[in-house]
Order: sequence, then structure tokens, then C-alpha cells
Amino acid sequence: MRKFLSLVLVATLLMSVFAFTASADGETTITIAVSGSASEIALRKETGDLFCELNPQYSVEWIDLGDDRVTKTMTLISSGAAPDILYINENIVTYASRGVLEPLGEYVAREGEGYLDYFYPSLLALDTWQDELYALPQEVSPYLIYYNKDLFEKYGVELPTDDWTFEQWYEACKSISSAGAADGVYGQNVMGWADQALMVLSRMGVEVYNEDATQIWTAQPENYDKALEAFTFFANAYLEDKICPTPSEITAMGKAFDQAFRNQLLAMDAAGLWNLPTYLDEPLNFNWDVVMSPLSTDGTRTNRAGILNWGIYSGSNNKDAAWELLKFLTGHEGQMIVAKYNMALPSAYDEEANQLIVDSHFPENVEAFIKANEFIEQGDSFSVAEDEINTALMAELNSMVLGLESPEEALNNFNDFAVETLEEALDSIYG
Amino acid sequence: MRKTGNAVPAQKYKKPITQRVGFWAFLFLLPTILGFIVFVIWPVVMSTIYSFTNYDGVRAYQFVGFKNYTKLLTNKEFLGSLWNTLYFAVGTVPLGCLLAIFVAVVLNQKIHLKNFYRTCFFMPTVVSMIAVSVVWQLVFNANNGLANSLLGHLGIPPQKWLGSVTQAMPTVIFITVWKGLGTNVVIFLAGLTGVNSALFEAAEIDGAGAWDKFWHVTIPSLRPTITFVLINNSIGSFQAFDQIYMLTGGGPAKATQTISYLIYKNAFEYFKQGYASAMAYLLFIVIMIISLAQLRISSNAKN
Repeated sequence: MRKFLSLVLVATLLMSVFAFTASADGETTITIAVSGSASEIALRKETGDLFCELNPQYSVEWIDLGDDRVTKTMTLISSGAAPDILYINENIVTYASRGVLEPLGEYVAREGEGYLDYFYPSLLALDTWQDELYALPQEVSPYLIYYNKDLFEKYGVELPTDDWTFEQWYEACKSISSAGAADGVYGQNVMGWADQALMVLSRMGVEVYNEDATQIWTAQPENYDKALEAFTFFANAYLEDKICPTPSEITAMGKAFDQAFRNQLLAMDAAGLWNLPTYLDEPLNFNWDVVMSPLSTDGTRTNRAGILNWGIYSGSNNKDAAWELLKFLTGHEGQMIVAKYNMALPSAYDEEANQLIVDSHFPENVEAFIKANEFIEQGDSFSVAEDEINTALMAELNSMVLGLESPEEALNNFNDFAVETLEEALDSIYG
Repeated sequence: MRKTGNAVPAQKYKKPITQRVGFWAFLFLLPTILGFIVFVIWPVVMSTIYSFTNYDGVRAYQFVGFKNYTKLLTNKEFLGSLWNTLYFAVGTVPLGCLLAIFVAVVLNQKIHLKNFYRTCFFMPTVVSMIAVSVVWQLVFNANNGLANSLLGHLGIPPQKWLGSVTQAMPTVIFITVWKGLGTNVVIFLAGLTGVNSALFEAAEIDGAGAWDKFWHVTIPSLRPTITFVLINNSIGSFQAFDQIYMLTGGGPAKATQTISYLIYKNAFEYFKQGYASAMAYLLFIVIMIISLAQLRISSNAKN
């Protein structure tokens, strides 16, 4: 009886091994991280399905990161279970410098000369660390100002144009907040998340880092006064001019900033194209459009953007297959699907894909997104401790606009923390 | 010395290993032991090692001695979070315990619909903290929440609750106590059933009133249960994370940022797993000291 049972067990084991081999035979499964709204997930899956249809030797398995994508990515990496292709936003350097990403130079070389000419150089620059490319962008979403035309008209404020200045923008914020106080209407949030605050800082000529992100710009003695002026501007905007409820007040109201815009409590909202699919599905019940972010105080134009990059996990066992999918996602077919969904702009000089966005006429000034693409600059993405330092910046600004710290205290605290954190991070990477 | 005999020592009979009770006991316990080693002992050992390294979760680590610990002891953010954690623990543990004793004593009386009330008090325990947080966020909505609406009827101006630096932590404490009340009540009810009814009868014969019976009979009889609840709740409150994550994200202005939340941020967002492990060990030491102190106090009171 025992022998019989042993035989059954061995037979079952062998059968399961053969079954596994048969299913795996001839098909390579590429795992890839995905995150975002239902529309975004649908977009990815459509792209993946098309890839599998054209390349039947591959199948694609999606790993949903949920909303907390940094944490989930970090957990997957730490546990050695990261997917073959990682979903990363602007902070490529954070991952590349820690050896998480596979250098792409060799793969790009295989595609022949000029392969990278398809992409915007400003975006490729953000994917490069120590002269080596670590990711390719698929989407770019420049921050523009969504504005509620009805509220502008109601409170007698002139509608903005793409060439408006920083002063005109701030005047609009103040006027609407002042006139709309009785209705609980504010101008615009400038501290919803770090990008929004950094956008205002850069308009005032203030950066967080020096050019190669190895030093804290605001802590340099020659920049201190300018930085303090910018911090004071934030304090006045919230405490005196009250252009926006503080982030904690928004939390207390149980609303995210984009919901406040949707509920007509904010007349303006700085965001990328990612709001468009939602506004298409659930049309806003007021007239609205987008406008370029205001010019900097010195008259120059720069723009921040949300970027989606794909990188290959350095520990992947399917790097060649992953490259094929990555190439597809960031190539013409992938960019066309991105454009079709109006989720973001293609990250490349792809006229056909860009034309899809323009032809959507949603919203009226949608072309401004494409125009803004030429001006993308965000030096903080080169930092090896971007997330931690941005979090500290927001915490200090938050304390300041709550009246818990003076601008000087907030700036000094931020500088102390940021200098120490950056030095430690650089030390841990370069030794 | 006279030899009593030249007997050869008898060879001890050995049972085959499969016939020994210990073998089977060990075999049946093996999965649990293995699980305990892999999922408890191993992580504890590894995190101890990590706490002395610069491990970032990705690359090979280097030992840095006590650097992580010394840095923590001078780190304003860590000390602030430690203070918040103590504030949270002091707010939730005694309040949760006192309320639970009160409710348990009331529910232990012969009252109408006793089981219905017991179910009601226990219900929040079975709901996930995520769902609870969403509901309480609506209640404490500063614009149109139920809490401010009630205050409005009393002529009190609306409060910011979770958006206020001073009110956020008390609000989180309130929600946590509400959520955990049912579990504590059940434990105290179990404790009350073990109280010898003869003690109450004797107290009544001696002319004790309700308060005297509660203070001189119920509380001393419940002492082991109270110690258990206090220690258990203290440990839980020092590890509080999900309600903070959901309700405030550690804000406003880090007013509700606890150690567990800081550990999470450092380990899973900032690539500082070694540093986060050191935090976890300092938290462990604090919890151990407080638990030992509670045990000592309880033991002294008993003596």
C-alpha cells in the first residue's frame, strides 16, 4: 500500500512538472507594474494586448501598484519580487543610483543610430544618471492651470491667456479669493503636493538644488535672501491674502484639491492631462479651460511635468523580452494609445499621436499642453533623495502656513534637514 | 567493600523513534516551529542586524555601528514622533480601559436587550480600520460633518478637527478608543464572569453600596484582566499606524506622526531600512520598559 501511495505521489509530481513545462513552452511572460485610475489601467491593458497580438511569443502580466506606488515598488524591490518592467515617475535617479534599474545603453545601441531622436531630449535627460540611460518615457503631462471660467466671470476677473505673468496670476488668485470669500471660494492651491509648490518657487527664481543636485540651493548663503523671500510669499499667500485653504484644511474638509476644483471651491487647479479622462467621463457642470502656467518673475518660461517612465528591473530574468515590451510601450503604437485616451502627451516627437490630442479639442486650449512640453525643467529629479527632501519641504511650508513657524524658521529647518539628508544620501551612494 | 554481585548493568531498552511520544509531538509541532522561525525569529534577527547597517533595501549593506541609534536620539523628527506616540498611548490606553470597564460592568447587569447592546459595542471591532476611518472622516468633516452640525445646535462654532494641529490627535484618539472598545469590553466581561458571586453577597451583608462593591470587589477581582488589557493596549497604541495613515497622514504639520508611521516612511519611501530598523528597536525598548513597569505596578498593588 505504501509503495502504491509513493508511486502515486511521484507520478503526480512528474505530471505537474510536465504540465508546467508545457504551459511555459514557447511563451515568455513579462511582468510589468501598473498604477493609476481605471482609465489608465485600461490604457495599459489595451497596449499590452496589442503587443501580445503582434508578438504571440510573449504574454504580459500586470502588477497593480495601487495608489501608493512608491511604497509598493520599494517593497517589491526589497523582496526581490519586482516586475521585469518598473513604473517610475520623474525620480529615475533615485532608483538608478541604487542599482535598481538596468542600464539601457546596450539595448538602445541594438536599435541603431538615431533611435533616441524620437524622444524629447529634456525627458531623456531626466532618465540619465552618470551619462547612462536608465529608462524611457512614455507619457508626459506638463502642469497647466485648469480654470473655472464661470467663477472668473462671476467675480469680475479677466480670463487668463497663455502669456500671463506671475503677477497677473497672483492678482487673479487674490481677487477671486477676496470676492469669493462669502461663498467659500478660493483662488488656487499652491501646495497640494510638492510639484505645485516647486512650480511656484521656480517662478520666483528659487530652486531646491544646484544644477547637478549635489547641494541644497536654498542653503547657499548667496541664495538665502531670495529663498526667504519665496517662503515669505507662501506665508502671505495663505495667512494674509488667503488664496487657498491650507492643505490640512482641505484634509479636514475631506476633499482632495481636484475635488475642490470640481466642486467650484477653487477657481484654478494646477495639474497635468490626467484630469481629462475623468472630466470626459463625468463632465464638469461649469465652463472651464486650461491655460499655460504663468511666466516666471524674470519673464522666462519653464514648466514642470508629471512623467511616466518605464525602466527594466536590474534583477529581471527576462531583460531582452522586457526591452521588447518597453520599446513597444514607448514607440509609435504605444504613444498612439496614450494619445487616444487623452491621458497624457506622447513623450516623443510623434506628430500623428500629438495630432490626436490636438484634434480632441478637449479642452479648447488643449494645444497649450503640447506648447508647454518644450519648457520642461525640474532639476530636483536629479536628486538621490528627492522624495524625502520634497516631503520635508512640504512639511515646513505646511507648518509655516499654519502659523506654527515664521518663514525664517521654516527655511532654516528645511535647510538643516535637507543639507544633512542630501549629504548622507550622496555618501551612501558614492561612498 | 564487599561486592554484592557481579551483575552487568542492564542495557537500557530503547523504543524505536517512531514509538516515542516526543517524536510525534515534535513532528506535529514542526510546521508551527518552522513558521515561527521563518516568520518571526528570522525577521527579528535580520532587523537587529540591519539596525546596525546602512541597508537601503536594495544594495549590499555596510555596518555602521551605533550610528543609526545615536542619530535617532538627536533627531528632532524622531523625538517629535516619539512624543506623539506617547501622547497617543496616554490618550488611548487609560481612556479605553476605563470606558471598557464601565461598559462591561453595565452590560454584566440583568438588563433588557443585553445581547443586543453587547453586539452593538462589539461591532466596530469587526469593521476594518479603513472603513471606520472613511466614516469618521465624514463625521469630522470641517465643512458639513455631523460633529460640527451638532456643535452648531449648541451654539459652538465649527471646528477643524483632523485639520487642526491641536485637535487632530485627540480626534484620532477618540476614533481609536471607539474602534477598540468592543474588544476590551469582551475581555472584561469574561473577567467579570470569573468574579466569585459570594464576594458580592458578603459585601452586601456587610452593607456595601454599589460603589463600594465596584471599588472593593469588582476592581480587585479584575486586576489580572486590567493588567492584560493595559499591556495589550499599550503595545497596540505604540504600534498605531493604519488610523494615522488613513485619517491624517501624520499631519497637520506632523502633529499626528507616530513612530510606526515614521518607520514606514523611512523603510518604504526613503530607502533607509537600516535606519528604520533602529527606530523599530528603540520603539521595542520603550514598549518593553512600559510593559515591565505596568507588570511591576500591578504586582506591587497585588502584594
